[in-house]
Amino acid sequence: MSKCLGEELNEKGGICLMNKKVLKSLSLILVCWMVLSVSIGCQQNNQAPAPSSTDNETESADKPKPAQPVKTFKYTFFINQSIAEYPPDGGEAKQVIIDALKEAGIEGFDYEVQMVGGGEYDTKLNVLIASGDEPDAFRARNIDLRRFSESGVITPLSKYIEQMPHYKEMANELDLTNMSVDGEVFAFPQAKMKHPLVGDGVHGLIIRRDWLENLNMETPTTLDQLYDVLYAFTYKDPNRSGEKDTYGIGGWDQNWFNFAFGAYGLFLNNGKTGHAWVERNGRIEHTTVQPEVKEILSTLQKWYKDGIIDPDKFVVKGKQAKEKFINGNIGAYEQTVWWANDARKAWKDKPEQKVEIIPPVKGPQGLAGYPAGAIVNQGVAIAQRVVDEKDIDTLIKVLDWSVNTGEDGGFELVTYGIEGEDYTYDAQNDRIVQTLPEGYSSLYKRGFSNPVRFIRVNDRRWMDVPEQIRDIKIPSDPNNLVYSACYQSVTTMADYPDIFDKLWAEYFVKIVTGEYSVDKHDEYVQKFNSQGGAEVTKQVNELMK
Amino acid sequence: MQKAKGITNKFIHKWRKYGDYILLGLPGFIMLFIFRYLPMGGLIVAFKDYNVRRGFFDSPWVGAKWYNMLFMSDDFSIAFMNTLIISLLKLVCYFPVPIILAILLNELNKRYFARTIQAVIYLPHFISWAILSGILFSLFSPQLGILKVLGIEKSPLLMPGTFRWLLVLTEIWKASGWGTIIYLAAISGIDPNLYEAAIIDGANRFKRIWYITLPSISGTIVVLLILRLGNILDAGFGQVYMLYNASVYDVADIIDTYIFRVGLSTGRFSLATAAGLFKSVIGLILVLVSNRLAKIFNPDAGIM
Repeated sequence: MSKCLGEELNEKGGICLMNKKVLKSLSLILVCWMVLSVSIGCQQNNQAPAPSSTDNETESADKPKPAQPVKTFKYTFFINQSIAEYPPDGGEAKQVIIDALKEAGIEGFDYEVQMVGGGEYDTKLNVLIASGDEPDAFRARNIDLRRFSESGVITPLSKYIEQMPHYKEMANELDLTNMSVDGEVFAFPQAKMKHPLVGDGVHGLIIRRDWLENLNMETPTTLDQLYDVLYAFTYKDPNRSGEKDTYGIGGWDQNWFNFAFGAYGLFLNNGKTGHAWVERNGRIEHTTVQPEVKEILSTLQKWYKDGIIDPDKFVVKGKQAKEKFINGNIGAYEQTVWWANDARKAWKDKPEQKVEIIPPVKGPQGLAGYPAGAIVNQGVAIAQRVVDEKDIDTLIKVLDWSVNTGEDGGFELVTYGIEGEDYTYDAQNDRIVQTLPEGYSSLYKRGFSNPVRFIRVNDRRWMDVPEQIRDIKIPSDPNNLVYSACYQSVTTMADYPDIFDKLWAEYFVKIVTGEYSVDKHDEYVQKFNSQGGAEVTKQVNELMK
Repeated sequence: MQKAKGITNKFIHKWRKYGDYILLGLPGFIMLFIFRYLPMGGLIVAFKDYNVRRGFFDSPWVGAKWYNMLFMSDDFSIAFMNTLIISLLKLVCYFPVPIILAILLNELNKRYFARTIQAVIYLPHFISWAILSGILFSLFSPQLGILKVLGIEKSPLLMPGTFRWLLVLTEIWKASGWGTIIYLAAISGIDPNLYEAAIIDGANRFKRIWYITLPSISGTIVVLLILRLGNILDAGFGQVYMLYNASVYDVADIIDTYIFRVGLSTGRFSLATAAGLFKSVIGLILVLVSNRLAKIFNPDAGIM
């Protein structure tokens, strides 16, 4: 009675699709393919960090013993940046860097850079850690360091910093404290070169200079003057198109108009508000619960009601917001100096379109400032597995070499490529003159620059656009900055993430857009405290005693 | 001994008879086991304080700690209610659309025209929510999109009152075309003699749809409804995540976005697993109940 599928079909008058022989062969092929795939998969898994050199154990004992070859380990670096041009195999830069390291006396190092950009980075990192595949070195936010250190994923670094003379010289003490958990450093914050263009801030209010000129208006210096300018940008045809097609100010959905808070002496930075603290009467309190915030919200609500804030502001993401600025839909935008330069590059054929960062506008009490320390809330953490399974001393040497600006160091090589080919150093003016036909793509394609800057060093000697140099001087000046009273993280921050992530965003947007009245801020304060804010504040105060 | 020989013979006989089929099905079963059943072991994380270094088994048990945390949290209850509301809205508004579309497509006489319509309505299915969200931002922009022509000054994506309906409408736009495929397949299986007999009896198009097409595909409709009910707590992560913003958190934050934000982004895997398990258990109960109900009304209906 055994019949194949084909036989049954035949009896019903169908076409025999598959005879027994074909069926058998197909089954065998499928099974073989599966077994092969599984075995290949298992083999790949088993190939974990095998040293690339082998010991010559079989050689006879009477021969002179050769020097013990240095074991080479491949270290994986995971960075929150997405650079499509970077070759997955490291490109030609890899060998150049490894050779330069050998010349500096560091052997046994190989590397692989993995990249994920945007908001997906943290999720991807968490998934890698959860599956036990954490990278050897990865960028970590200081708010996550406690969690990582308590679970034993990352290794303490204080003692290694002592072995890194070049890094130690450039690392900022405050930044190192920000990367500490209970007094122990757990990530290397970016180092800062001592240079007039290197400061603690990069954010500022970018404004259309040509629109100001078209409207015969001066650069605003106070919040009220800024309102007048933004109003004119919205209603007085600043681009001379003859149409009402512009708005005063725009931004991305989690951009909180930090300059307005700075005008009241309050530190607030875009995105999550976990590091927004201010000292009041000897006690540290969260920025968003201060009474002045109501006044700021009231101002911004008026701005929105008067139509000078782009109605898409609270919907669009960063890239779309940037496009709106570049396309001339909005006249002001709070972002980093790099974005201002991106606009300049996009307008290279339209020299009449000009943009600049203005000094922070003053509030009613004469206070002003942009948020400081926007870029020191993350650092490079080293996985505990490097200590357990690889050679941390070699990695530490490499990291120090990569920030060493001396002749025996690799800072210029990893950052700017090959001297004479990609850049020259103008010693007289202390400038790096880059010769990159396709901009930074030329370096990325060959495997240099950002992906292999294992620890970032803040160096701005490459800046060559006068407008950009003028821009960067503004947030580099400490007088133009507002500092947070605490950049560190405490245990309870991870227990109540929504108060820093969701709660503020919700109330801020609803109050500014008029959905809620300004008095709803009282409800926000009550919720902030009851949903964990009071506990976090208490811990922050204990930490900063 | 005799008995053992008998069993061996029986096994050989069965192997000869069904061995090919077993081999053919084996890769599928193994894949299903590895990727669908084996990971279920990870569910114990929902009752442990999962520590990456200690692993699944050495992490300490914490009982129902994460469930207490979830059920005590206002945000989770809001997310749970939002999930139910958005899912039910989608179920009521979206579910009939592919059925109606499939019937309309089936009634089209011009084959070329029907194919063109099919291609057009399938298209949005292949565009990811990441891209669609960009298109929708522009479309609903009071500065750039059609709303400017209509004089609307606030983006509907910012309005809590309209946001859920936008989710439903965009879901219908994206998925209903693709959803017609199963119904079209079911319709194509209907015996043409039934239609011919109905025409002879004087049944017009509507009567043929009502008395032949719909009853013939009712089994398929019930199965898909049961499967859909099982996924009632899946309100569409990709869609909500890409489209929502701070202004609509209170009406749009669903369980999946909550898990993503509170569990995965902050690395609290135990909490994320607890919420995920809760979702799955509700889904399973709904599938079993709706299957039972389907059986009560029609013993041939249902999936089990």
